[in-house]
Amino acid sequence: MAAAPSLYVHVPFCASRCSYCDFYSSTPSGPALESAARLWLEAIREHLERLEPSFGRDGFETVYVGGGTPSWLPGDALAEALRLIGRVARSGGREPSEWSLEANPEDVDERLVDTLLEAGVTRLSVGVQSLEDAARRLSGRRGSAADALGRLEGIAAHWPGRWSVDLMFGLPGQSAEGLADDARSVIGLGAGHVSLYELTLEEGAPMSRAVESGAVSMPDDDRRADQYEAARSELLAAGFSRYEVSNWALDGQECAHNLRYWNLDDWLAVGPSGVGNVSSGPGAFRRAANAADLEAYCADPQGSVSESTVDGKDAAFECLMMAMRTSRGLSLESFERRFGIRAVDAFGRLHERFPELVRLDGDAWIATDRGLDTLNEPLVYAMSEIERSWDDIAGRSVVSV
Amino acid sequence: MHDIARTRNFCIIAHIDHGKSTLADRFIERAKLVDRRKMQQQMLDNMDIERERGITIKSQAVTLSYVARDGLEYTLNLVDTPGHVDFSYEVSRAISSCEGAILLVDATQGVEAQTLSNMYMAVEHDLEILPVINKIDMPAADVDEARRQIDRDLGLDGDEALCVSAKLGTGLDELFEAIVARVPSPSGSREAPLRALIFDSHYDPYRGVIVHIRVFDGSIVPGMAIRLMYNDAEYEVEETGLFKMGLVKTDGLVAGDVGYFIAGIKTVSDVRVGDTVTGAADPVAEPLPGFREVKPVVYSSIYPMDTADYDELKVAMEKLKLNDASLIYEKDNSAALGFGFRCGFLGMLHLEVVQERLEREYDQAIIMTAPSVRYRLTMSHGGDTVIIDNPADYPDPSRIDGAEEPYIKAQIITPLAYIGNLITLCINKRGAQTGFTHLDEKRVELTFEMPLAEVLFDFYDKLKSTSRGYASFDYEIIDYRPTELAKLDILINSKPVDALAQLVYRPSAQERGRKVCERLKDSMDRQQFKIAIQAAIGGSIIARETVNPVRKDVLAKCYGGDITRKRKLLEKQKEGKKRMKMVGDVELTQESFMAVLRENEDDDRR
Ligand SMILES: Nc1nc2c(ncn2[C@@H]2O[C@H](COP(=O)(O)OP(=O)(O)OP(=O)(O)O)[C@@H](O)[C@H]2O)c(=O)[nH]1
Ligand code: SF4
Ligand SMILES: [Mg+2]
Repeated sequence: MAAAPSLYVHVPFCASRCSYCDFYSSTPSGPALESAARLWLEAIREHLERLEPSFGRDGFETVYVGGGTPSWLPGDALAEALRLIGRVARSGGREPSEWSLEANPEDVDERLVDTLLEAGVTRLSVGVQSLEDAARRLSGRRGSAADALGRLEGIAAHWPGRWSVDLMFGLPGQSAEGLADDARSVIGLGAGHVSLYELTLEEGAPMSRAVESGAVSMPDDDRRADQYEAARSELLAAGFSRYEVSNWALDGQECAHNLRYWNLDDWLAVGPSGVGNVSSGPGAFRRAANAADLEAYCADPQGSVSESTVDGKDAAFECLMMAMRTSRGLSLESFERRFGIRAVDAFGRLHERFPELVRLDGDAWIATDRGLDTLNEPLVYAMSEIERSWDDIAGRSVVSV
Repeated sequence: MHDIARTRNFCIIAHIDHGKSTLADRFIERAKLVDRRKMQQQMLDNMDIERERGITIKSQAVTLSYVARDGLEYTLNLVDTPGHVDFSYEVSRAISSCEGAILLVDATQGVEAQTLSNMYMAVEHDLEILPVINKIDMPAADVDEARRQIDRDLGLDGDEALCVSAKLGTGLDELFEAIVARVPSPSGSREAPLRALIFDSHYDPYRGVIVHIRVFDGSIVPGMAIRLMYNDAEYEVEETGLFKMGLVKTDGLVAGDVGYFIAGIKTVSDVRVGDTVTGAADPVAEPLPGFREVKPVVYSSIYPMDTADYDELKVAMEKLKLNDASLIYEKDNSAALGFGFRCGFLGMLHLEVVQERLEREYDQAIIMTAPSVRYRLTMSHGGDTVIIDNPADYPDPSRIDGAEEPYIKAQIITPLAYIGNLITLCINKRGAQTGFTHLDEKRVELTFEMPLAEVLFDFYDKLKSTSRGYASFDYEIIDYRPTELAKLDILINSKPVDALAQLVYRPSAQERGRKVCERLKDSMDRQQFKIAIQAAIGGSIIARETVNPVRKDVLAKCYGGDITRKRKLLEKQKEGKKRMKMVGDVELTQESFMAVLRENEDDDRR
């Protein structure tokens, strides 16, 4: 395990609001954006400074600047934010092993590329979502598909580092053929990483209302599965492997930062609505959620944080839930080391109960292909099991210590 | 204690929605029984289901005092009653504890089905009846017509009817005075041995059984030993009191009073609504007449979601029965669902109310099976008559000579515009039209004779949707008529599930089987394997649907900020599982069992 934690930075601004989105983000523009960005910048500066004494010495192992739309920040604010982040990240005397930044294709030009390279960003995560015009329109994405494609060509030509593309399926207006085309296009342009994930409509999102009123209709289960399978076969054919439920990469192109989430390694978060998670003793985490409100966050970044402890069976379950999403699965031995109990005692013999979904491979439970597609069932089962078993085993392990 | 000559016991009876509970509000308000700020509409409808549905389900007694124009203070025991036909048993019991009844008639609707039948009940019990015309504030009110109908249809003096607006309180003074003047005071004697009628009861988790009584003779005081005449169980009275929007303790109750007593009754089943309470030391020889027997018209079985919870459900049923004397049940047993209860209900609304009360008041997770009417079968050997209401009891068809099913006289009141659709609906439901009456320029009354069984399946929803909610429906059972009966079996992955079986009209079995399969399919979640749903009659398959295996879950992102939310989501799914029932290796939702009878909205669009 790396000694240094990772850092997540949340940029809460977007050019416009996508209708399915429930991330924390607002859409000021012009001078309003300038001044909001300043406020935000000062707040993350303050927040990072306060973090430094405890975490600064070793810097950060990986950095991820997400949002919102980081690329939408005014140029000088972005450059200054990156300088600031870079200084903190390097305070251990080392470069972070990976530094990602999310960008919308519409914002990517040579100036942006220069700013990022100069700051030390190593990886670009491009929010394409769909290259079908109907779907883009219905979900309120900026720009046309042709425009987005043009920008991706620019990235392919000018961005020297690794880059990833986000693709969604299950959006109104999408089709299986469209998803196959989308996947082929981004693979053809040289993206080495694709996040392929399904639309989940949260209650607050404008699209939910449109769906409820019947103005927009969602593709049904089978059509969504068709879309997913269409994209999946393109990715497989191009040599991508699925290293997490909704993440695909060519060899060596996995996102190191996200892997740390799934491994529940330590990370800190700055920016409104960011959530950090650090280990707080054996089998327990301290989770710190920054206020999901720009004003409240900026007024007192550290003070706006609500902290909670996740421990006991919740922590153990989260560890299983996150690890099973990855192709590495859950190492039974490291689980036991972390929680002082055996995974089979806590969750039942998952590989025997769900032989088609979970296999025991050496020392790890690993989800099969079908298992990655239908993880909920074994996870729900594991949750019921640990609820029944926990008091028993927790009691025993205390005695045996 | 007050003077029996200045006590007036009366109930408010009417057709549904004619304003009984609203009128009760005005009485409560006048008596200042509730702080002004705490007044609500329909105060006495205090159950959640009553408030949500906007109807009264339980009769509710309340004691008020009123200083009349003669300067004397009177005690008024008012009972608000439900208007819906499914709860007429509540009305009959209220009537047994009163000497008078306010018969409310909505001036915009006039006399309706339950106006008549509730009045007959009151007449049977020699109650003094005060016809009162309500809602006179409404623009559509037609007081003259209401008076004519009271004359013509009820045989009462329409000219004498008082006019009120329960909403605004208009005419209330006259009504109060009329009650004092016309409702007779109770006739019992305080010195005689105790004779009190149990007209209701309820269970309080802290205080046990609370028995609602009307004292006809004698008195009941704390410390006294009483006897419940049905089974001679004896208890010592701990507390007596009155209903005044909550229980208010008194030193005792005497002849003429309506109130409650608590006596540390542990055996819930000792208390029977309709039973007579007497003194253990000085018992009366004859109990009071009690109540007519309940005659359920709809039967269904109730099972606990988790077979291990049978005992808990049993206790819940006993407690619910205390407060719902019209619920009857006996132990039942299903291969798929284990032990449960076969229950009889007074109608579909009654069934729904029992289901909801068990879930909400008693926190039971239950499964109900498809409702059935009671059929009469004539057997080929010896011509015996067998009565069945449970598909499980359906005999080998070769031994059945003939079958009969209950028919109803259905009365539908509707605006003219919907007549065509409603007639089509009833004819599709095997109805034969027997009447067509213009009530006024806008409304007609249609009468049909049709099988009750048809009303249990897809009728109410269709009635409401074809009339945009404007048609009202009432029925009474008239007789049994010959029918062709068959047992529809439902098979899941080739295994018959007894709890899903239904008794159906043979000629529409195919159609029914198809619908049931479709609805079951819609109610089920996809599972890891393929599921076949089949409908069969006597071993031959008549309909089939397939539920394909799940292809994938929702494949969402899950990064650092999503962990807690994702865990909560799975927790919710896990809770949802508790509302699933394993039948063989297939998971059915609780809704699956009800889905077989309720229409889903898109059925019509298909
Ligand atoms: N305008 C007007 N509306 C009234 C009057 N009395 C009752 N209502 C309305 O009529 C509706 C039914 O009133 P309820 O008091 O619930 O009727 P109910 O007879 O108790 O109904 P059930 O208990 O379900 O049989 C409510 O919306 C009342 O507000 C009245 O005098 N004038
Ligand atoms: S760009 Fe991203 S964060 Fe902004 S509104 Fe659209 S989906 Fe949400
Ligand atoms: Mg009412």
